[in-house]
Amino acid sequence: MKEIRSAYIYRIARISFCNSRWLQVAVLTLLWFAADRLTRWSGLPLPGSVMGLFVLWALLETKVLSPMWFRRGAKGLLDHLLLFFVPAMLALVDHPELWSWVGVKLLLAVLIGTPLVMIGTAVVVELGFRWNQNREGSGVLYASYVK
Amino acid sequence: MPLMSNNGAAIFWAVVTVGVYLAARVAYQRLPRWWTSPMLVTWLFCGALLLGLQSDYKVYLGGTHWLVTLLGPATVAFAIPIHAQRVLIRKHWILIAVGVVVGSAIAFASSWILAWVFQLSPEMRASLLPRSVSIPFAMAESQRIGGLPELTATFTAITALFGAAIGDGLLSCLPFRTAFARGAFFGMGAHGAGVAKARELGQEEGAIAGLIMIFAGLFNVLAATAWMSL
Repeated sequence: MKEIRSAYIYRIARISFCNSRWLQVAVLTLLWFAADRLTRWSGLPLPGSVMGLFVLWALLETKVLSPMWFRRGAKGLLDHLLLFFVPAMLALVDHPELWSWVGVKLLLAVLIGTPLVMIGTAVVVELGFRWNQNREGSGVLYASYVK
Repeated sequence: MPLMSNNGAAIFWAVVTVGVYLAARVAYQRLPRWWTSPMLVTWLFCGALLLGLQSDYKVYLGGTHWLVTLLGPATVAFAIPIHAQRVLIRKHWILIAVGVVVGSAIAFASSWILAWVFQLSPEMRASLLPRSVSIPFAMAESQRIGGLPELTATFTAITALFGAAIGDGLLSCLPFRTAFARGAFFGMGAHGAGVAKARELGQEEGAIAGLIMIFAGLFNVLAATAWMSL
């Protein structure tokens, strides 16, 4: 009787954890915090957040952790990623030197560079994909990617 | 941190930032255009309010730095989409790696050359260099190579908005036939906003764009770390 009840409680806890975005965000935050402390303590030059990503990825690949435990929390955090930058981007009000020629030049550099990156990357990937298909000599996979 | 008298202002800014963002999200669902992007609207609104009230940026950051802190757990959360796409990664890792390395090289070279042409200071150049990768990675990289992370955040966001805005137009006059190329186009060029655009094109485009974005971020941070510890 007691065993059945504890198994029941465990199941309820697991289901509610899989459904709770906030709990999952809290666990992801704990993971990040631990990874951050670990990198600082060990003197690794990596950012703690990147270390945390690698650790969680490894734990998922080795099936120590299930992605079901984080899916909602991760989605919530990544959906609102844009909000987390706004405070940093507002530092612009503290940089009056950018409201001048320097700012115009920086903006131009971004506006010219962005299409270059987009087109250059896509050209290389397109050529690489076609080359790979020709080498393998099967048009089947290629066809599935053509729109 | 902030003095007692600043606590009210700190809470005010936190409420305003989150409130405007949530309202802008609702508006964006009604009218999804690049210029109604919640990030842009929140940024411009809060910026105008900061300047209008002649408020101190440090007070603003005192109320909202917890949002920036959430970038840490959000970066960790990228492990979930990576894991979800493991089949695609295993099958096409060479192509993804080529896209990431070539895209990063073009981004780096174009920023460097343009910074030289415009005679920007080394600090500005270092803030400009990481602008083609997702912002949490870009900010980490900027810090490593001697840039100002908050300026990098701004350049990176402008890159994303601009890339997403011109993407469809550019794509319609270029002969990219594979979902891979279209995904890489948006994922490398316009990271976060680009991935959203690529998802509109199709599932494969979206998945590739997301992977290219995350791996470009990781590659850039690792490369910057390795470079600086030489």
